[in-house]
Amino acid sequence: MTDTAAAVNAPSPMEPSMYRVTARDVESHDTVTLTLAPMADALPAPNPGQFFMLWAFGIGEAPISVAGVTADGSIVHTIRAVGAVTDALVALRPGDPVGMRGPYGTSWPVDAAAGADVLVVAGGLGLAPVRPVIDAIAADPSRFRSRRVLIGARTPGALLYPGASARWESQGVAVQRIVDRAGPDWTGPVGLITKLIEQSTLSEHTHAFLCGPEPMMRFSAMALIDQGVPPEQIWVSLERNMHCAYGHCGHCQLGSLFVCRDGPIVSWAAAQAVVRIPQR
Amino acid sequence: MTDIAHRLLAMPALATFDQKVVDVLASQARVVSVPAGQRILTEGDPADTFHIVLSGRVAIEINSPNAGPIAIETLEPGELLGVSWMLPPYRCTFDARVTDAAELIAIDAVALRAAADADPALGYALFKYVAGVVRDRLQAARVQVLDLYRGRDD
Repeated sequence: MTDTAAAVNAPSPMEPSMYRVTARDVESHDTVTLTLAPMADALPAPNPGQFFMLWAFGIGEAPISVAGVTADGSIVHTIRAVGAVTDALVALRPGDPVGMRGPYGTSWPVDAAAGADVLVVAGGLGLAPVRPVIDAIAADPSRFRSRRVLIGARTPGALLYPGASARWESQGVAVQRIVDRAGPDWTGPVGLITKLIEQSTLSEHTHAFLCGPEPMMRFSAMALIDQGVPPEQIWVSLERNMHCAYGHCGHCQLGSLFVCRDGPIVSWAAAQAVVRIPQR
Repeated sequence: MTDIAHRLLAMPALATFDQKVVDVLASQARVVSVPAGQRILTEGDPADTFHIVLSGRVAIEINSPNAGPIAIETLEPGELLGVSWMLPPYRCTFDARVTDAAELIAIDAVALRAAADADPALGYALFKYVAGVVRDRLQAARVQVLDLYRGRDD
């Protein structure tokens, strides 16, 4: 086959693979967790922090971070309904088809934190992209000096993955939760997640993984730096207007970064200079 | 130095206080234990006592006719409960309820205000302490107003 013929026959990078919904767990009134299994050949296994482009047929596609991979290789995504595409994805039921392409982007450098104190800071739906990190550190305690997870949510009822949180605690991970507001049934802390950071014992040996709304990550990164954590050891997950997902279209350009290709996981040392640039 | 003075100085927020300031605070202070569920401040009441949390947790609440008490912040060990004692009209602006059995240092605000009026250096030290707390809580409230975790339909 000639080079030209090979190029013509190569699959388009925009062509999705067919997957099917095998499980649908309702997390809240607008958020579900879908488990997706391949209908034919599986896509490459993702690393923690990477994302797939999910197609809602007839409507469009959206970048969705990986919340986990099951033992049989199915991909787990937690999706909140915030627009036309995600409305359609959230409405999918077991048996429904969905298109996927990927995985794309950079991943959380969990291996670089071996031997160190690991801190995961997650706000709202931001718990989904760091869930694979938490699963990894929970499963392998001997690799890390300490393991702590701080979770922020709008209300107690909006806290994601209560079952998984209990399992992480049973595996020796220190898990603390804080909410923005609560009724009298909640006896835990109320306030900003930075309050939990300020109460934590941190040092230059801490490696931190942050995911949530960008202002939350900015304030969290500053609180971490105030406690001696080097910016190079603080990792954040950026979100921008990703379309092609492989650095071709430029929609997600953020300063010198293409978030889909150079991110979404970047160190705070790299992110702090560009994170205040408005999304186009 | 009294036991209460030792406990005050052990708190990071107070560690930079002069010994004299701590001694004045301690002279107006007593340690109280409060069970979970008990309200210790009520909106509108005179702010004649303030507290510093030694252990447990205290929720700052606003009462809403539709939703009942809503906790907008909790205070943990080392944190100041009550800033309204510092400025007129010396009236509590929120409810406070213990959510996790707490030990508190309760300080007589009326006596402390009189001491601060008589000693500007003491008053300035206390004012800087309270202003720092107010700054941090204002910043937190501003971010909470953004409602960062809100979904489209919330």
